[in-house]
Amino acid sequence: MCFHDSITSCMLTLTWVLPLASAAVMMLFPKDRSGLIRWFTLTANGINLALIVLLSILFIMHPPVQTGGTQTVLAFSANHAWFPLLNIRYHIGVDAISLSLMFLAGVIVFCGTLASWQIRERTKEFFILLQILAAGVFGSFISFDLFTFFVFNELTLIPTYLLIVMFGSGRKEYAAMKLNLMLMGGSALILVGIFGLFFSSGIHSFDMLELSQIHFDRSFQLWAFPALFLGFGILGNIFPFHIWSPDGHSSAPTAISMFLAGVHMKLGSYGCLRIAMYLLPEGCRPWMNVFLVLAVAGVIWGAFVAIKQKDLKYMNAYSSVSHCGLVFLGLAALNSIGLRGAVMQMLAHGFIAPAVFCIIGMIYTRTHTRLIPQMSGLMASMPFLSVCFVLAGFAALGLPGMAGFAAELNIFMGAFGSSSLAKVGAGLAVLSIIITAVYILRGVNAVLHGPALEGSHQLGDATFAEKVPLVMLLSCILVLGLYPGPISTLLDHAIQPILNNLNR
Amino acid sequence: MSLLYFLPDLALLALALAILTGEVFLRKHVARASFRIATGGLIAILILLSLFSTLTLPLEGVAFASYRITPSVVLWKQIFVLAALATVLISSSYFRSSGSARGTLTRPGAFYSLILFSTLGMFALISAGDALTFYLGLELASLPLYALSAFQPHDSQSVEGASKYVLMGAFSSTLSLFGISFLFGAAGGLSFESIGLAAHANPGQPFLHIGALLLLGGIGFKLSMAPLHMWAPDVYEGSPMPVMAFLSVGSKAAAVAAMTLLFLGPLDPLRSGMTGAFSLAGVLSMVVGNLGAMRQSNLRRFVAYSSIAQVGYMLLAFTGTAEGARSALQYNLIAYGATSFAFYFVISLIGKNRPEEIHSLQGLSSESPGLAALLVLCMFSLVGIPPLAGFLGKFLLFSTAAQSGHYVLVLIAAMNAVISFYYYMRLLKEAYISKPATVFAPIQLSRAAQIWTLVLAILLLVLGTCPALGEYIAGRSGF
Repeated sequence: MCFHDSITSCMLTLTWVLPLASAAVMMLFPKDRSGLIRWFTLTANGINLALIVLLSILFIMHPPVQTGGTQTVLAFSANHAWFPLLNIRYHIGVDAISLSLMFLAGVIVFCGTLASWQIRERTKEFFILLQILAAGVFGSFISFDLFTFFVFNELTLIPTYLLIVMFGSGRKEYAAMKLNLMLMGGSALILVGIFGLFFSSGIHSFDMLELSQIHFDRSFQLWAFPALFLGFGILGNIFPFHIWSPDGHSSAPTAISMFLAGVHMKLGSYGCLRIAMYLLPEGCRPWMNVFLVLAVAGVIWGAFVAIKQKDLKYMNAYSSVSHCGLVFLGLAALNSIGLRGAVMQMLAHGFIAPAVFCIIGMIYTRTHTRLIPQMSGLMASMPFLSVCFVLAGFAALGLPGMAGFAAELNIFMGAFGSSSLAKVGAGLAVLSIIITAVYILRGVNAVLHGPALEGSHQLGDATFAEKVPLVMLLSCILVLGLYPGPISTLLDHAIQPILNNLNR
Repeated sequence: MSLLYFLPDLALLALALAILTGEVFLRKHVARASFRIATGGLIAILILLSLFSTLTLPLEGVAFASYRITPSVVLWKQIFVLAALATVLISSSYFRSSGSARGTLTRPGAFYSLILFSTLGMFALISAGDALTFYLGLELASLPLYALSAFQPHDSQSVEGASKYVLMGAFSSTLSLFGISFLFGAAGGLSFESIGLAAHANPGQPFLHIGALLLLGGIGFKLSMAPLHMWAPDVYEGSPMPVMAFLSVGSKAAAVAAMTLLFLGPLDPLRSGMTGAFSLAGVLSMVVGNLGAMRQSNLRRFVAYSSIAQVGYMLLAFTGTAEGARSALQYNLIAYGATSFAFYFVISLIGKNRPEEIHSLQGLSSESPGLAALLVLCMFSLVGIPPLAGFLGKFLLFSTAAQSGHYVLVLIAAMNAVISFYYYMRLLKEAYISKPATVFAPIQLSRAAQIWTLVLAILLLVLGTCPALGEYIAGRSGF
């Protein structure tokens, strides 16, 4: 199987055009044909997932050979002028990091569509907005031009706000506003950083690969790095700027919680790695200690707060704060094991958090409550969902053989092999595993075991449409956990140029 | 031969006079006719301007006494004509009996000719080669607006707004005139050339700075720049809807053009010393506009404060390089104008049988999903979120400030855009989730209105993603 370069790069473009085009087509559908709209969205996202799988197979067969320099070599790349005025280009391509995150996004969007099968009101608006959201994320992951990346990243804001406000629950207006204001605040920092990169480079370019070859002024790097890292860090859920995520994720409808926690947040940590750390290595080293402390604080704080939560969704959201803290800890290790662990943790959390959100959503549609004290003995009435819940919970607490373990092991090894501050941080962060075990096991125990509630035997187990996403997500978690070798090798290659730049 | 280049200006004058006299002599039949003549005439002038600028006009321009025409000036005129054209188009329904809940407008001939005279003033202003022509243009652009803002003489709100506007407008004119006299004193001449020479020779001259600051105040008033913005909410609320549209887009464009003419022209050497004044006025406008808009319940006042905030972002560009600032401002004005008119289009349809209040938007998403979607695009464009027109406009403005190293200013402006998200979303909240508290007559879109909705939505997306217009502007104003 051999594809011409232009075909593969078109396929890569298609990954964001397809969701957007499907959204445009759906606008023409009559709004009462919700069945048609659902199937149409599912088909579009199925094709998109197949496209990404195909690209991944092509990538694995012929991975781009990294030259050992500081410039990432991209697969399936294309580079066209967009706004010649400001030298803005449509420069796309993937390396192992972005392609694996693309795969994650493809799976989550597909599963999210299935998890939204029961949406009855304003189906049309829901799926149109979901597709725009997906388009923004796919576009971001393949962009290697800062402007294009920023545009796609911001494109996600419109649907996110509307989806939470229109389809959310609880204090949805407050949550949506807080989420958007904080993320836009982050974007403001990113924007300033991007301008800085553009004008200080001396070559007036937004191209990440060109910029990676520029040696920026140390004084410039010292202010631009924190601006960019923090800007992306807010999206990536860094402590203490995580406060938008528990409210936002808990108020959002199931599919959107899955997507925000699983994929959208990864855009933040991806930006930290790909833009802030890759382009500004000299700013990175002195500042990383600060972010290391924040990362460790997030890991421990998130875990402790999760214990206190009565709402399952809030519990999972705070657990996300803790797990995203681990991503930043891996980044802060500044060595190859740590960075590899960070990317693997992005993937692991990207599958685990949506799986848990998905199960919570399904339990909620049956019990109409998410509060732990109001649930008991669900194992008897919904065995399939319960087993999935247990498995996803084990994955979250880092049981060996699951994705979380493989990632966390790398992160802790990386951190212990790094500076003395990182060693102390890793020592503290390891404790979070115990705390995680406490809240996961307590939650699972309270919800699934104990006496069955009255009338709960009529609730019914998962339907076929609900089983599909759960099986998909859990198999991804297991594959990543049981056989992490190939993907870590691929990731190592992709991390090498970033690391070379950091050690320059 | 070179007189041919003044054909658009002369045609505009003829058009304005024709419509005015037409109404005097042919009172009965002109209602529809004057609308058609105004629309057709403006389109013809637009085509004429485009032809001149692409075919024959030399890059350095041509001059006739103190009246100059350069590619950049032509571009400004195109912007003014577009604003006037959009105003004429949006105003047509207000002369029909069921056009607005606020009452019907009468005497279309006078109305259109006043709009055209004001546009002619803007033409003179941007073509000016000396301070006196400049001042005459500024006044000719403003005087018809005073009359227009009082175009509903039986509406006390309209009259109150108009009298405030006239009084404060007179004050601002004296500021400008006073400023010009200082420039005259310092330079010994009124032509921009001599002022430019004087500024270049001695950029630290205090009289020049006093004159420049006074002019900044005088023009800043027209721009509704804080702290000279006080008139805007009252006038916007009181005047007829199309007049508000012209004030907030056309008049604002003229004021920005006047500022570029002075501060990116003869007074350019002074600008490095005035960065503080521009930044202060800009940040103040953003903050005042944003804080003010949060508390409004009336759509017109909301528009007024939101436009004050938008002025703040535009002022940022004056801290950057001259060419970059000029193109960025022109692009931003087109983007802002398109977004504003799309928003006014929504307001005009709402205002047909409802009060122009924010709560009138309730239930819009179920009554008319298309119009609600257009409102979404407008709001996100005003915040400055890609891929919409407003984003690219703001991006260019910010990039000019960033180019001169004013990163803190860019951060403040970007943070203000974030704050503005809060109040723009209030409108979407009403349109999408609030349950209607009062029952209004349902909104029905005619076939024409549906097409306009689609066209405006596409326009907002195209202006945010398509590089063609940016290239066009850069080719004329430099970058």
